[in-house]
Amino acid sequence: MTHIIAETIRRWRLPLVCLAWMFTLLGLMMRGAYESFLAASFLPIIILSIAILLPLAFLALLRRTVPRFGVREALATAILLLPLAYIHHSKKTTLGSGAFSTRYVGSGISESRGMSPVRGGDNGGTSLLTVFLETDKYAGKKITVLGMLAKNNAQVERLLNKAYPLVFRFVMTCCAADATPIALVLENGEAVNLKDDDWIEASGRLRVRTVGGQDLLALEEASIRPVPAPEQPYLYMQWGVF
Amino acid sequence: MGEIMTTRLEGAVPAGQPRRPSLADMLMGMALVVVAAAYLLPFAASGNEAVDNFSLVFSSIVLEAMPFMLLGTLMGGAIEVFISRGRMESLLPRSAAASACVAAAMGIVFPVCECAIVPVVRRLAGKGLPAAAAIAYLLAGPIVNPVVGLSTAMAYNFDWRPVAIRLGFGYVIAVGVALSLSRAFKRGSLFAAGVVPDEHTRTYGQSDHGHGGCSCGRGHSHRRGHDGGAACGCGRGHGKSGSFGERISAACNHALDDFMATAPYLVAGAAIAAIAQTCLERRLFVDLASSSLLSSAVMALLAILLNLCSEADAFIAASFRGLVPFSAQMAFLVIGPMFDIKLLLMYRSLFKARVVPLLAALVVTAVLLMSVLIEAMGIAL
Repeated sequence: MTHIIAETIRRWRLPLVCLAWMFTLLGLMMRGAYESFLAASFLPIIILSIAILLPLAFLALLRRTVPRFGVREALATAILLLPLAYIHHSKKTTLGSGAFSTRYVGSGISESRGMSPVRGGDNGGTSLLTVFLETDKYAGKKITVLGMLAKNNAQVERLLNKAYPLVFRFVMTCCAADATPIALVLENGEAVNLKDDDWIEASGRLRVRTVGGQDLLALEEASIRPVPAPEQPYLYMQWGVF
Repeated sequence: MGEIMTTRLEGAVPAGQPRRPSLADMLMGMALVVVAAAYLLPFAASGNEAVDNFSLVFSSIVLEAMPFMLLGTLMGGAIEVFISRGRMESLLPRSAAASACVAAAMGIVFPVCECAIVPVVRRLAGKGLPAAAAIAYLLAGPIVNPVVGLSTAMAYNFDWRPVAIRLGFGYVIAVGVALSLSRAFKRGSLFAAGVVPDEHTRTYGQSDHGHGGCSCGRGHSHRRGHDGGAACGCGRGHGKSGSFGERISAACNHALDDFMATAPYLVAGAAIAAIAQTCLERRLFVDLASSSLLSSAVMALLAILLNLCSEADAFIAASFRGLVPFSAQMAFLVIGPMFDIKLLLMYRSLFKARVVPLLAALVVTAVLLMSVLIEAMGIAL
């Protein structure tokens, strides 16, 4: 009996690893849930991965010689399947104020030729990314932006000697690991009944403040109101040359 | 490690006497405990923001890297089956220096990211690519390529100086480290068992299919020996007699072996990187950088910990403009694609254990020297 179980594991280990990964990617693709982890532009690469994993699974099953299975292989298999547990269990669709506080360095995306936001203009307002890419155009004007709320940020408090709420979004290039936060300081903004990570719409006049040798963008006399989360929490840039 | 355990059980310990666990056994046991705990974490600590962030970042890194790794293993499998040793030898100059110089620029023609390049280089090395050339391509390929050049240009507002410095120094450092390592180690003591064939017997050491049966699934006789042409990584000659379909099948089987050999290292590295991304405040790295050299060291450390893709890291580096010197931003951009936690673990599937720390030390030293040089030249944005 033990021999049969061992032989079955040996025979099915590689095909099952490939199939488990393939069905996970398929599920993420069908539900569109991959956009919680990856940029939308990764869809063709996910499809390609599925197309590679399927024949690999069949080939593994058809092998004449069955690979050995010892402690080392068991550990390797367990490690290889570990991300699937996290992917299936992940309920968060975006990074929040926790990641904002560890990643925010007081700067962010600045004006850049050839770059433009892929998604934005959320809820009819101005995309936060557009504000950062075209700061000169919006400076001094009244704007409305959509983002998540951070009730305070230690870095900003240190620079301005006062605690202010911020509205922030993450700009993704490839995946959540490289998502960079951009934020506007909400001067005199009241966020009494709101909590961190709530989605808000903030309105006010854009002002560029240079503090400690770096530029901070702020909304003067900001008004804040809660809004539903947008369908796409991340912002993306596209390369205008393409 | 299973083999170590088996050997000890069979021979060295007298009957009736309990066997003392070796260091390898203990490490394996610890790894199993850590992996078991990691399986429980998302269920036990759901709702905890740090765990949720870790979960999101860990999944993202693996999901982003896995497709490229699969493509890399397929490329490696194709190289194994379709390119003969003779052809490989004829492609590059004979001298180590010249072959390293050519290989370091191969990314311009064959752009491969850092996740895909490890399985490709495993097969190239097995095919007889000179060690210096293999290491040069491994280190330079993810930097010296058009995609990375363009993304760096975009991030730096089409200022071409960061592009030239990143690609130029990336190339020089890759060639320098490759030549140093290839002189410090003989070919057989450089690459891990199973990567290159034994020079005398033309057989491979312990690999994923080092059990004595070739996993390519073609059922060829071991007595056929080597044809001197399309020598297979499994140590038995495939010859060129197989049909195209059979050779495709063999390439895919080799890809599967490489995937199983390198992907666990990728996942383990991604987990460590996700912990670093979740716990470390980036602002601390800016605050720590009191001098330009220290800034470069700190930014290099940040790149090692963050494990970013070489096509995306320029945007992160650019976000540090005005906060750290330009030389430190370049240290971040040059070291990341050559050596980070994920790669450190993946290199274990390619090199012998003692080679990896030396490679890391050489890369770090070279990058810091580059920063000093950039400062001395007064280059700033």
